[in-house]
Amino acid sequence: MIPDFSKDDITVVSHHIGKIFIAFGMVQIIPIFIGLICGEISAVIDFFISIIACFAFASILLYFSPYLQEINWRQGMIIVSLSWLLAMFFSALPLFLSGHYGCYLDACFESMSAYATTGLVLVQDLDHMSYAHNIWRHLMCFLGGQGIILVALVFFFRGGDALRIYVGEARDDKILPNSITTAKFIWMVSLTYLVIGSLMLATVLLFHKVSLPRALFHGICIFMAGWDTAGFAPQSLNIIYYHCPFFELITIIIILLGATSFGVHYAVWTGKFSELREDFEVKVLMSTIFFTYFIVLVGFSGQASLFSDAFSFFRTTFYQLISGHTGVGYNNIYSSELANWPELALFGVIVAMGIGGCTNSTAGGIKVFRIGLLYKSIKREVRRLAYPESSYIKEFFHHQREISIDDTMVKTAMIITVCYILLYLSGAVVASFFGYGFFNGLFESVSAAANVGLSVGITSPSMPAFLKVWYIIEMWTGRLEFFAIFILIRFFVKTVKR
Amino acid sequence: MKKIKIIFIGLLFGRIIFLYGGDRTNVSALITNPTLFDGRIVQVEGELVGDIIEGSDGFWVNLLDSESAIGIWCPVVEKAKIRFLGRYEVQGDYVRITGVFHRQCGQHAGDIDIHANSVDVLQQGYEVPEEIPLEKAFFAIFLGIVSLAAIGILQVLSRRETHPNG
Amino acid sequence: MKKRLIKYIRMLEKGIIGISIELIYPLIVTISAFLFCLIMFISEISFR
Repeated sequence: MIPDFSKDDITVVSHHIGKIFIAFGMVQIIPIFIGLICGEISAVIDFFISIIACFAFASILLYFSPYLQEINWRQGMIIVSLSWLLAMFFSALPLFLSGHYGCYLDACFESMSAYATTGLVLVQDLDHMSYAHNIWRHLMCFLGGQGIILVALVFFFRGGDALRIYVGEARDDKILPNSITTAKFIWMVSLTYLVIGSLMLATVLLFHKVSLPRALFHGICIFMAGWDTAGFAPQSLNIIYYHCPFFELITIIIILLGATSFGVHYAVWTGKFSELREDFEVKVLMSTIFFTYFIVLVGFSGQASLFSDAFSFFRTTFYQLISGHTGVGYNNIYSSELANWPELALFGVIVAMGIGGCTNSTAGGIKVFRIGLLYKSIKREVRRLAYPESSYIKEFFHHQREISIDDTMVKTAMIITVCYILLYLSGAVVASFFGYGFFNGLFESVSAAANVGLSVGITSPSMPAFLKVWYIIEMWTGRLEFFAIFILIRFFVKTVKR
Repeated sequence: MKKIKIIFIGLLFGRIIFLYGGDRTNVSALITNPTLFDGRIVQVEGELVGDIIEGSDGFWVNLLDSESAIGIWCPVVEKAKIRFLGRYEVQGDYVRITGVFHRQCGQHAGDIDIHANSVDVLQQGYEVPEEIPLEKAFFAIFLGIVSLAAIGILQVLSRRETHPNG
Repeated sequence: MKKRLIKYIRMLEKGIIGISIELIYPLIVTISAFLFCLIMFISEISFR
């Protein structure tokens, strides 16, 4: 008989979630620190309340399940999906207390959007938000992009447990033999680039004579949201605020690096430069970027004269495309302007958003790896049909090493791709039910589920509550790549049945 | 002579239109119907927020009205007028901008912007003293005490459970 | 702690070429996309 869920599962899960929440409470010391530096007492109180709530919750869980036990795969999955959901509720608390959100649901939407690195925002009057809260918004992106639990992973978990949680957060290829060293490596790369990227952005702003603290603040925020392909910005105008093509170019560098898999980063950092040229995923990413960009450009045929010159045409179209493709969702035009794009161009952006970035990066969407795999498997099938029956066809791709395609790999890729497409469509149906129009609904739905954050104007504080909840679900499932959530649902169904 | 007169009157008239004839509008109307206002003189009112971002022969500042924000490109001379920029705890200067709206600005690589001819400060900004809502502070203290007590009790209880004899 | 820092700096020394190559590769992508766009733009303008 297959063992079903038992009381054991609950204790193991609650023990680990308790530990994760201790780490989670400790992380909130950073915004408190910022608040104290900037003299924002009110903000500090908000975070104080939130930290206490986290610690209290953690200690209750640890009281009822004090023993550390080995976790199995499904428990790992439940821990991940449940702690993401709980993290959303808890980190919405300081946001809600800031008074910049219409209701608690809006704050939850924002925190899930940050954790899932989506970038759809419901914040009001962002330009007057405190530094502490603003840093927290971007820090959530940074934590979510790496994997919330990856933070705790480094400190609290043992080898086998770590792997199970690591996989739950939609990171399937291990770069280093041990998943804890992998987690450490991921943090090292991210923190190194945090310094480099923030300094580059701040330098550009310093050239425009923005004061040093403000330049650093903008640099750090934009880097954290850009590297983790979230697309939050400290001002309501997003990237338009800076009015600087060079600044946009640097964000393009950051987001492309963010959407590149950590496996490639590891190879390049350790001296295998050719990996950047040979890696299957990077190759597929490049070809899909150019393919979808071609669709966008064709979509604009006959309307190029609307733009003042070739450069502004490029700046507008390519920025939205690359921002959609890598799942960032930075925009250098208004969403109302984006909504007025020709439909074919919007379709190109939708395809790009749906495809997304690399696996094991911070990007969302179906992932170029799976798209490439499906393409290769189609090629393999065609060759199999074309050659004599007795011949054995093998198709290879280069991903850190030469790998030959097998059926299990294709099957998994296929299942997840189909799940994503169904998720995209579901959001479009829900949006059109509320009278938004199917095409716009599809755009916004893909944007939410593929964790992009470009908007054609549907996402606003006044949108229906059900649609907000639906987008939260889409962001959550899209980020964790379905299986962790399916297992959680199964767990609940089985528990209720009992 | 007549021609010159006509030109002169025309210029004068143009100048008057230039000064007073801007379409009074709001930012969201501009960004939702950019083609309608493209190249026309518009007048918008709102709060200046964020930072001054300097360019080669002017500077950028962002104006926020009740709903949306837009970038304003101002000549250097206007800089002295701006005293406060809206941030946390700061209410920025409330200004009236008269200037040319561009859907695709040729000078700024296709930005959507207003090139200001004049910046009039209608109401100077001010610093808002931070107010700490007392309920929130008390709630925080209360919550702190309660949960510290709870954590302490739980700790004691769990220790007792693990060492039943000690 | 000090040992770790030294290890990290050693790693960076080795990785510095890698980092600079990584910073250049998005630039190449952007420039080639710009050329691609330019061709489309010019062909569009000249065909009409």
